[in-house]
Amino acid sequence: MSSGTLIIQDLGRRPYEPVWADMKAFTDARDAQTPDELWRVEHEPVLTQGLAGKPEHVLNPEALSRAHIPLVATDRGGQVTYHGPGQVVLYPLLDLERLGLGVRCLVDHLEQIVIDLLADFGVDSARRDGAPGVYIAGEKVASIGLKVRRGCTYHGLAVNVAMDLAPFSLINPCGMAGLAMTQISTHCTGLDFEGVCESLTTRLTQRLGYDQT
Amino acid sequence: MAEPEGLSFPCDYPVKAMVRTEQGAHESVMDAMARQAIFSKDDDVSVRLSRNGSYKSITITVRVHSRAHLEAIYQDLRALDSVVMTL
Repeated sequence: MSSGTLIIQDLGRRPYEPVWADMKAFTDARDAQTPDELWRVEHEPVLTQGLAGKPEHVLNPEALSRAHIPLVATDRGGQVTYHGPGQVVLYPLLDLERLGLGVRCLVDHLEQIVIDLLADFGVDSARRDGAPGVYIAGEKVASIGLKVRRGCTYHGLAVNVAMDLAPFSLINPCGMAGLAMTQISTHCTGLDFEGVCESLTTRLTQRLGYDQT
Repeated sequence: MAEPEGLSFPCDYPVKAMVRTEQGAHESVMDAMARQAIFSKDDDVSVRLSRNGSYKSITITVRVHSRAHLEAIYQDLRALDSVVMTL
């Protein structure tokens, strides 16, 4: 059965906070007829903290402020993470009830599209129990943090493609001390930022059963 | 590549290919598909461009007669230089 249309919006390179505000506004304003949307973004450098985020996972606030990286307290699940240029960020703004999909199931799909994309390029990756995301040899390549409000999701998936990973060293990424981060460009050539973004979009559209766009 | 389970043939199947938008890429996909199946370039093909237009996602919905037929379609598509990914 078709899940209807998924509208794809390319936001380009944008600071975090206005996009977050727009996601919330979209979710608040939507009704049962509003088509689902997928926003594709690349953020300016920013650290975002989750609802249950512990401040002690921000290891070096002074270094952050020296690097002019803002820290934003958000309303998503999960712990602190970093977004910056060279990381593909996908925000699936979906009506889960209409899709007949649980949030755990959506997390599975988001992980699976990354795992499948990497497998296509000969890279093995895996999930980890109790720690959403995708890992290559124990190093995290993709992070997931979602918010569900009135049965609809915002926030989403961040995939490291070709970026400066150094800011992750200022935090315990996702609240895990010593968790190493990695990125796609370390493991395979042949897929750039735009290719990863496009491939993940196609995979998600297919997995969730949307009409072809 | 897609491993659709529970398909009963014949069926209409949306074949997806992501290509680099270089000269002749779209046409080579159309030609490869035309050798395998009959479809309308107006009604059965949909296209989406990536953010800066470097990639193009093409979906071609065709009547597939058997699993072997489906596999042959994907094999032909993957053999094309401009095809980055098939689904």
